[in-house]
Amino acid sequence: MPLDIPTLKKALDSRNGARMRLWLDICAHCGLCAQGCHFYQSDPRPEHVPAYRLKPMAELLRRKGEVDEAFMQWLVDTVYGTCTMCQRCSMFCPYGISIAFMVRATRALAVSQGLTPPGLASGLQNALDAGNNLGITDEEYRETVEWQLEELQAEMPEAVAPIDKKGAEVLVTFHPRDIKFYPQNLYNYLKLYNAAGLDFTLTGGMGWDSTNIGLFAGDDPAAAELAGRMIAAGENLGVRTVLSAE
Amino acid sequence: MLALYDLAAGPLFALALAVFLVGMAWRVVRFLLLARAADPAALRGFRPAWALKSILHWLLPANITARENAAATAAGFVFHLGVLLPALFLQAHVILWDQAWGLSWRPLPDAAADGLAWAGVAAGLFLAWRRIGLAHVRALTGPQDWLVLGLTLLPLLTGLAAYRQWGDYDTLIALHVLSADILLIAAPFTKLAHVTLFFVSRAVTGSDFGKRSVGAW
Repeated sequence: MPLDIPTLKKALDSRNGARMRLWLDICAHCGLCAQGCHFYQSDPRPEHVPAYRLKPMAELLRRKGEVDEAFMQWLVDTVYGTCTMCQRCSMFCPYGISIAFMVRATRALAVSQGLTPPGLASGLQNALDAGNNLGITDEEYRETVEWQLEELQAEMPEAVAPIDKKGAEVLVTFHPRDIKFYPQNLYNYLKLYNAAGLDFTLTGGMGWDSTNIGLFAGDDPAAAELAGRMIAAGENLGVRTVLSAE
Repeated sequence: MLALYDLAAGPLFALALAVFLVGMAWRVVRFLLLARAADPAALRGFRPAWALKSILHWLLPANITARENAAATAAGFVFHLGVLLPALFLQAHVILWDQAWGLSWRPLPDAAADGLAWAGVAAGLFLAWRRIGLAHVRALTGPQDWLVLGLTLLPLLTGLAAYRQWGDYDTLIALHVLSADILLIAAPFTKLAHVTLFFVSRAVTGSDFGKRSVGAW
């Protein structure tokens, strides 16, 4: 697929803000960030040094967005393939440079060209379509909660797991993985909240997936949409706190 | 050569110092303006106490890198001290400040300043070795990294050479002052801008760490 250079330039401009310039300008290339990186510690290749992940962005700015498809492939491989944005490298950087921040900004450039890696793109599409990144249907979600609540009630008869209870104190959200693959985790969460006497509610439909794949992928409009659904769910129910899982 | 010295230590130094001070201040102001332009609310959640804590932990060797990478940390500190302390406290420099502006402070003994400068050169060479000898640092290193290291070492080396009169003193001292002028002028436009931006960057990250209560590291 050919690149859309005008869109790339626009995305580049929008990402070249205060922090980006500050950190690209001062990174001393000392390599001390390598100590904090699980990629580098597992496989000490130069491309696994966190500061290396700034190269695609620095090079794009130098070339003012005039790059080819091979360059963008290198960018994708670097900022999606060698970084989980865990931020551990920032602990070791004498300047405290947030490489994760810059990796996310660089991912947005790939997003602008439709180059989000397929696995991430399908999870994001699931989240936008179904309300969670694993594409769990509302029916499956409610059945899983009901099932785990029944199990829990064998041990804790008064346990509850209200869905969309107006005026509850706390809205609890989940990682979809805990619903689909590890319902035992859901059991444990419910047990904990009940034992703590928390006035909580779950929510059906959209807004219970606490992961934000849009944020992770570097797709800001999608990230805002997903976060907005959770905020809307909380506001509709009138809760005071949204409890995020993960 | 005396004419060159007079130029370098007179009007050129005044110009260099002005470029340095205004340029460094501008780098900070520009960051704040850009940050505010992007998001007027960006500065509202700022946590000054965490920012300060973060700066102090890294201004002193009281951080995770100092513990886990002691050699590089020691080289970094010795390099900075070897450049800064003789520049500000060598007796000959203090006399010049006094003559120029009537400002005077207690100088370092010459032997101490001399030792610091040598230690600074040694640390600089160690940092240069890291850029060549360590594959992961070599892969990151670009021309500007060598430029700023060279620009910083030059006043040290010419100063040591002039002090010991290795060659024609008039030439060496003129080159010494000239190299310092160049360093000051280059600083705001290169990675040397970290003279002030270090504090900005650590404040930004320290404040962010504070929001998550994860420690200053």
